[in-house]
Amino acid sequence: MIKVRWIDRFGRGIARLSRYVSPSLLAASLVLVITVIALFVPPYIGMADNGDYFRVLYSNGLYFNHPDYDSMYLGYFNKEFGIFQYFNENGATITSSQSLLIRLSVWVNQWFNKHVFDIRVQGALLTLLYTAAVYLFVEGLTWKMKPRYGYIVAVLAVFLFADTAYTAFFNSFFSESMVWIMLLYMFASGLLLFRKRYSDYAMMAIFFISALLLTTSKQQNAPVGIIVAVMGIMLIFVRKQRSYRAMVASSLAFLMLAGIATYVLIPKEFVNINKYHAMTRGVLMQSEDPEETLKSFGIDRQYAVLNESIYYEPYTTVDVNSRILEDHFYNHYGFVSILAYYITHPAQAGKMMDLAAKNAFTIRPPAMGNYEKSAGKPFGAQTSFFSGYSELKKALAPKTFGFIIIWMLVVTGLYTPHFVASVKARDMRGMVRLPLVLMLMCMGLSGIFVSIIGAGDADLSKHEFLFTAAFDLVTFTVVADAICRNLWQNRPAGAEDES
Amino acid sequence: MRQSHRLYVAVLALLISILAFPAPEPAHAADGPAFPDVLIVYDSLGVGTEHEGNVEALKRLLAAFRVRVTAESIDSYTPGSLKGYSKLIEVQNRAELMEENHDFFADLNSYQGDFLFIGEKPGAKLARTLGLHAKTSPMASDLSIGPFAEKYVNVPSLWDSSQAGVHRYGELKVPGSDSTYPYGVRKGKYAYAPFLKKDALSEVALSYVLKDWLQEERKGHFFLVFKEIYPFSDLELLERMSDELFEAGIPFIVSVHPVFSNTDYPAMKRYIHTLKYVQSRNGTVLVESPVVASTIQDLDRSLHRQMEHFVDVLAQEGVLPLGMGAEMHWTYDEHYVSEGMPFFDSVILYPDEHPIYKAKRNRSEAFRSSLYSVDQAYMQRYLADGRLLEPLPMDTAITVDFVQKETELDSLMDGLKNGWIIFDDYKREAHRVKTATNEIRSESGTLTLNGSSAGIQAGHVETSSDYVYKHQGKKSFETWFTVQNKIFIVVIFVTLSVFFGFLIIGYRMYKRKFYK
Repeated sequence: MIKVRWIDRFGRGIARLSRYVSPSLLAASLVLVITVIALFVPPYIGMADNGDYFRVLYSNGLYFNHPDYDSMYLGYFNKEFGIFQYFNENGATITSSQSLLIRLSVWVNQWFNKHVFDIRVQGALLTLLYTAAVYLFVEGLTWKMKPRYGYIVAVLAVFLFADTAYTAFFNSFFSESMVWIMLLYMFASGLLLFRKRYSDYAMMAIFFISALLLTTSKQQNAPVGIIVAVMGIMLIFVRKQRSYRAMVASSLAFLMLAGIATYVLIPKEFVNINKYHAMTRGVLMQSEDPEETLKSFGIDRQYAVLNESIYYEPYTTVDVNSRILEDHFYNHYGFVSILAYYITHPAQAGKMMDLAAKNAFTIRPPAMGNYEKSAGKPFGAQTSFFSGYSELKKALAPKTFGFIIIWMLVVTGLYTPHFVASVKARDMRGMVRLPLVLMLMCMGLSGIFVSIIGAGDADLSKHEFLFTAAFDLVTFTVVADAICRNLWQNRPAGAEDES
Repeated sequence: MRQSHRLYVAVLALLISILAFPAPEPAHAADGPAFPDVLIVYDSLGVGTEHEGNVEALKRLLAAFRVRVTAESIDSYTPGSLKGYSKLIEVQNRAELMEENHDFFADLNSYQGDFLFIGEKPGAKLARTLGLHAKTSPMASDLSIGPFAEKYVNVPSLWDSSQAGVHRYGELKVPGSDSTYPYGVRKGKYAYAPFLKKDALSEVALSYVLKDWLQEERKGHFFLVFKEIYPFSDLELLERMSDELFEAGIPFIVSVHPVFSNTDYPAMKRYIHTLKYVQSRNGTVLVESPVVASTIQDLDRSLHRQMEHFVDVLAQEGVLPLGMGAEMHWTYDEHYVSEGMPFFDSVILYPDEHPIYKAKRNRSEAFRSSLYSVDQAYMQRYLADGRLLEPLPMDTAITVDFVQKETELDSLMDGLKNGWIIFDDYKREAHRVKTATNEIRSESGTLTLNGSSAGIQAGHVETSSDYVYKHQGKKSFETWFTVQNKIFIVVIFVTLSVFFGFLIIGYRMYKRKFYK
């Protein structure tokens, strides 16, 4: 009797709450509060530089102004950088969408300080963007669902989205922050389109812009544009208007071009590090006969001595940017020839995939510290503040490629009945969800493949961020749909609306 | 009680003995000769000016005269430190004069040791001692010394001395005039040179002044050194080059890049066999310093262990390296000196290209044999008539990057065979390389390994590519698991067949029941 009364009271409480705060608003607000506490309340959380900042910083008009910067590499987060006051001889080039973000942040920063850039300005901009993305995503999952289910999803969303393994990237110059937020926007807008929640035109615009920024955020994401362009074809048929269809089709074509352009415009210096690893820590490493393997690429067999060596070795036989390697090593292979090699040597590819899977569930790269030096924490210390989800994932996920395959099959199986039902009912909008989920899974897989082909097993946990992000979004969607009784159903979206 | 007291006394005595007798020094310092100390004091490194790099050039020249150099800026000069030196070089790169009341100048006034001044405005005391007097204002002059000449050198001012007993070095001639002025002037322990520019003729010109100022009596020699030799260089071409040089009677040195991993691979064996072949053709092997990465990843690698391992791998196969080739900044770095160089008493110091320090210090490490290096282009640029008969004042390595094509090799060989430079055999001088397990020595052309004479005869060796790169781990119950796998496959197959059978039967029954 008491229990029934309690449930009744809880139900009324939820109904009252839903009048003022929707699940999506609740999730977004909590994520905002937790992220603000993590990033903007001392001790500030961010990411230490692993040596990659140099390229991004100098090409965007910033420089290292800390006198003791060298001692902070990998260990400590640094929040302040100098703004060039004179001609920047490094050539201010926009090589990625991340540059746009940095330029915007510097511009905003200059309202307050013209000489010193505080990375928290960028953190603040990203936090605002992120909050809106979380709102849209949870809205896409909980709209028209029973409030009690919606709030459960909202609370779970906070657990995932406020995790500092993700949000610490906002206070850094790593492009992972951009990847994560844009992936969220893209998926959220796709889901909202599927649910017919907002204007289709507005959602398509968000989808397109976020996919474009995601594709161009880093060179590794070049395949994303192509995947979206191919798997997003279903979006063209959501509406019947010719203008809409033409707009979506041309947007998708543009995304494909952006993907190709991102691949072509990779800076050379960046290529050498990854090319070196692709051969020494990839193709050669798993080969039974490295000399024979080198011959198949037309490379002198003597290069076998470089097997398993890494770019970061403090003392090496040869400078990785030397002419001899340029002329006789790097010039003999590329992304396509390595891909072809793995296709013709599936056993080796399998071994590499298993190696990749070992690092595929780590969100926070283990090498970089999160605190400022002034916080008094040890060198390389990482925060445990609101990191439950990332820690749990790292500890519990089965780290084999077989698990990834099973996960993909299960997810596809769960969404297929609804897709089939939509096909039978000729409900084009209902057909959007499965391709959307598949699109994310393919992006995740591309993250793994590109890491392996492009850089062997070096820096895997950082290179595979796209997979870990896609895995989380898709898994969360499955869990949310399961909670909302919206998963294993063979009713098309239209029928859902009527219920 | 008494026993514990004895124990304390014994421990105390042990501690005192440890403190009193410091740890043994590296091989080159422990049993080598005592090296004279020279202090360089500079007002500026001249970064961004024509003087940039001249202090580095001076350091490299001094290293070739086997002196230990301490270089410091005048701004960081510690009062009184001049007393510890008997040889001082002051380099003036700034146009404006420093304040006279600076601590350094106060010490300089009372300094009694040898003094060399390089710069536009020598002090009054030095000018008086050498009888220097300025002749003309800045202008372009032609500089010549020995067999070398450089035209239109921008000279800050021309000086001369008419004092008796003054030695003049080189000649500066103003075009269109008959007057000549010396480049350098020395009298006893005092010397003066008006300018020094890196990679220009003044670098070699100063070496003539330095030789006398340092009272170096040894004669210099030329050595031919090939750089850029990797395990993946064209090894056949390297053997061919060795054959041709051997036939032409030209001794040579190959400075080879070390390999720290996969030293058991066939590729490494081929590298070693080639080096052995080179050695048999009157070639000398030197170990080049490894490439230091500019990355910041802190991987736990011991340079000492890596270098020692490489030397031992070579020695084990009969390749006997006699020294090390490194950029000059290695000798000004505590880490490189103690970890990468303690095995060697002989070095060739190359100009710094991209210095990356680990533990920078302002004092250099001196070596028993230290070669100054210049590349072929430098020689060709400044040799007045292409002929070089007399060696430079110090031992000099003429460096050539090993070629990658046959055609390049042909023209290189032609140049060397037809050249006038007489190269010496590095093995004729005493060199020593010592690791924990091996001691390699050379003396009068003979190589010894661990005290016994080493035969260097070798022919071309074909190395097989057969090698097990991946060792299979020991497997337990392999047969058992294979059988078990087969049983499971059969069981799964049968189960699936039965399942599909039931599915079809069930579907037919369902249809019969509901679709009648």
